[in-house]
Amino acid sequence: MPEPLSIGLCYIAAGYTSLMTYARGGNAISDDARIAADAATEVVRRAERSHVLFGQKSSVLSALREIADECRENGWDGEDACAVDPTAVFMAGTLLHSLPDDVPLPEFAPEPDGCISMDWIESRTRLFSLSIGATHRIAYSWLDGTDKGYAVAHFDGEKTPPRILDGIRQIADRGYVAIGS
Amino acid sequence: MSDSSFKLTNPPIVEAVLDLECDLPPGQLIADLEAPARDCFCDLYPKFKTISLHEHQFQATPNEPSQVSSKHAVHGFQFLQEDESQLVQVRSQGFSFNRLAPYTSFDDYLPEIERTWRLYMQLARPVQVRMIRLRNINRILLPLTEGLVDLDDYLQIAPRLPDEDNMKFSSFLNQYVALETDTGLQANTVLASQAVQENNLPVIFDNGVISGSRGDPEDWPWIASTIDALRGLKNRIFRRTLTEPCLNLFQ
Repeated sequence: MPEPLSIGLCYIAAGYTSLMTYARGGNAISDDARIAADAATEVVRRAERSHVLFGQKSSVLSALREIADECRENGWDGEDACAVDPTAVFMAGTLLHSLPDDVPLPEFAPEPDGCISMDWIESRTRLFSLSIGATHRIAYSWLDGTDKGYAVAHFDGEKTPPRILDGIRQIADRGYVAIGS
Repeated sequence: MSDSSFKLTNPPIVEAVLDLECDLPPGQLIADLEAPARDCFCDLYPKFKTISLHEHQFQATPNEPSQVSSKHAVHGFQFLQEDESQLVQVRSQGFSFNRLAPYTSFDDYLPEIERTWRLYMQLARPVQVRMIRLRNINRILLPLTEGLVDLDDYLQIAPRLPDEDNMKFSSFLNQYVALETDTGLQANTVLASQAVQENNLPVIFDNGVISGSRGDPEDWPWIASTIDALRGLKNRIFRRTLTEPCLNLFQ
């Protein structure tokens, strides 16, 4: 169950995410639903032009688009890698948008199976990596010295899965939050 | 009258959507469900559409013709009745039932929702229901007097301007997401104005409510009771968003 928000700033941050989700239109098909979604899209577009609100994420999204462009054909690695799946690119962008502002931004990389990896690398022995493909199931793994783990989490397209968020924060913050279930 | 059985003579609803978001078995490819889904639904829903994500690329190189290419990925299927007033969606993330105008009462559609949900279960074999979402999209025509309308006459939670004497809305979009603390249900509503039409201001009131409780896909009594709770919240929001004069427009 989602927690009620009591801090105004948190509400504003969450508000853009929920508006972005709304702008995608959901599963309604009527013209009126489309019109309301278009109005939300316009608000989101305007907000995304703000460097303070979205500047850093925009830069990282550009890197994602470059990967999508460079790896859109099979064999992009000079061998037999699959073309990057357009849905994986969309999902990776959606997950990036869902990240709270206090979380460091990842590096993107293409994977030979057409998925996109998002990596938070603190050092050779301290990293968090996830792989996102055409489904809402995200495989993730982490390495923290001699500790390591692997799991799969569901992404609803709006909110970063809590276990993934905890994992990123632990690697990035050098905290001691348990990862995984 | 209970909140879930609230009825209007001429409801302003243009579309009702019930989403049952599910975990499908790992490795299940939605494209593999197309043929069996057609078999399941084509008798009452003969029209078919594919839900796709399209990616288009335009490549411009100096002194060469521009190249355009596109790719698409299947996200699901829509099965529509002949008149397209009702449809069922088989999606990679779950099941949806949409009812467009003319709309009577949700009670009239519940048996069909159960029937089509059971067909979806046989087809996709969902492991878990992850979320249930009910959404009513209403289109309300607010009458204008000399080209103006006082929103407070029709909306209990009308948007506000910083200087009401010297400023007038030309359009608005008002969204909130809220949690009902007693039930844990979530509300996600949008009020958006549209361009003036004849002597009315059309306002879209998208009234969405969500339950994040997880449950067994086979447990229809649990699903039905969750839907009933969602209807109760949705109707409370509807009545407390609109004023009596506004509700009277639909009687």
